[in-house]
Amino acid sequence: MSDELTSSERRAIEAWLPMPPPAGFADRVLAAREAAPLPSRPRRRVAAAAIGAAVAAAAVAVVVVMRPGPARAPQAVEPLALGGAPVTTDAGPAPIADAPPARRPLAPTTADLRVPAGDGGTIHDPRGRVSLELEYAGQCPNGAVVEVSPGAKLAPLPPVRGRDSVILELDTGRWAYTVECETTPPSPVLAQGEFLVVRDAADRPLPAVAATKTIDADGRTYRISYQRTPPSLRVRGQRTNDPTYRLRVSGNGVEQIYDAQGPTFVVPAFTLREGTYALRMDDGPGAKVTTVVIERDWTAPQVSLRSPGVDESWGGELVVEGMALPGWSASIDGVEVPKDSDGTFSARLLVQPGAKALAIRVVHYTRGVHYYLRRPGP
Amino acid sequence: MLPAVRPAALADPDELDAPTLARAIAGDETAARVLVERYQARVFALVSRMLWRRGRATIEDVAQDTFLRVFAHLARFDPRDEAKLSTWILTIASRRAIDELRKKRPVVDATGELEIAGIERADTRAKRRELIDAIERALADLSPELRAAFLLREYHGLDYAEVAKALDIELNTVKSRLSRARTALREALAEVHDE
Repeated sequence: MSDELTSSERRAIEAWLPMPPPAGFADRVLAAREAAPLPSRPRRRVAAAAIGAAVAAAAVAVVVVMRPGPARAPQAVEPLALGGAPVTTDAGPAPIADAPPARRPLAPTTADLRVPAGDGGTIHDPRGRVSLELEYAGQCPNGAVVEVSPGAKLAPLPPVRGRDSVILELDTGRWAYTVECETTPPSPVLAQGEFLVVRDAADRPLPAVAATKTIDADGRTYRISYQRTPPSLRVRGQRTNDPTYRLRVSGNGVEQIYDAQGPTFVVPAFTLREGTYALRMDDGPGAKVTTVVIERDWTAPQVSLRSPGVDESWGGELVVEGMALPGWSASIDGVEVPKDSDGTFSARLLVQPGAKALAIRVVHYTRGVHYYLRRPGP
Repeated sequence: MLPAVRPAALADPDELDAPTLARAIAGDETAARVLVERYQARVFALVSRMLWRRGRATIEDVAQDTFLRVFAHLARFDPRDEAKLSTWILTIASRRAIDELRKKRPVVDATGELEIAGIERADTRAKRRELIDAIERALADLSPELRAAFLLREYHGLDYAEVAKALDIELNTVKSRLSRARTALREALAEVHDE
């Protein structure tokens, strides 16, 4: 007899769901890694090469300086050289000009967004047409050919060739790509990925507080989606001759009871998280059970950029400010931009002329990678 | 006309592609981030089940330490010698979790703390809790190595040879240990079904 688990035993052990990684876990790991550089990591060589490339390209040199938000406790300013370790100073804010040069220009002068081959995600672009630079430097001695497969209703793109990178002009829609080194015979696929380009300025404000939804205890089913946090519910019932009213809310394994002097009840925000709930007022025989389904609306905006505005002119210092809903973490060229408790984030950049666009990378561990673009105005 | 896109039969979508891995080894931050994001769910799956009663903070610390060790030794990883990067990372995670289990720490009831929120009927949720408790109890009686062997085999699909290599034990020992673990599990599940 086989010792392996049977299918029913396997189903049973699958009931044990694991703990998912917390939001921003990758940022935490990378910050810890920076704080304790590891000997096997050839940091200096890479940094020197990158700085050389930056000088040769005469492109932008960018320094990010974190600006403590108003809600954050007073703390030492943490100047961040892009790609470098956070440096805490007791001497107050360090002048931007004194910070070390960036390892690589973050805002490319050759395209709107530069990513390594193999990357993918959603690009939120106010214009809806993105020039995307795919990099594979050092991977293909004779260059590579990139084939792009468009989604439905999109015009096909011809294959693009380049030595260390290629630039793809992508309209709104879904685009899959493969990168193959130019060899004889043809080499296997070096990298592949997929981007979704959406026309989105991401400038709509996000709700700062939980919403309040009003429903009637009339036996119907209500489907309530929320954008930021589980809403509060205002439940209205029929007036009776009783001096007091009672509402029972059951779901997710618990029952909650609310008493009131009138036929209106308020279930506070955060009380009912995602799930299905049965609401019943004790108003005599034939009391109706109202069903409420609460779910998070992932199609609603999750990130809002307040600064820079669309086509705002950039001159020297650039302030990036925005807000991201819980679960999302923002970074600029690998440097995490910390969020305050209310979800707002801010960073100060020094951008030299020539940058085509700035990309803020925002990640959610289940919703994937999103890039939010801003281009300088005239 | 657009040439047909060649199916990437050679690339395992669950694994990091070779260029990104090369860049991560070279110290590229973006590639390092991609690596963490690609494997973090699997590391948390293993570590959280290994350290179920040590609480969320310990699990997160061990998972983070796993990735720090991965980066410290990434240059030694050779795809030609190692089967998969995921197996190599899970090896590091399991050894780190075994070390943690050997330390004397207060035990916490983590079932509620670590439970996944979601839409689920109350009786289904209660049944799930019961099953988790039974499985966890069965594994709690096993040695850390045996627990790791069971999780790597049954939840992460490693074959016997990979489990043996990950835990640095003989292949036959793996088979006998897993047999004991399954017996313990079956007894625990039978208790749940008998109730």
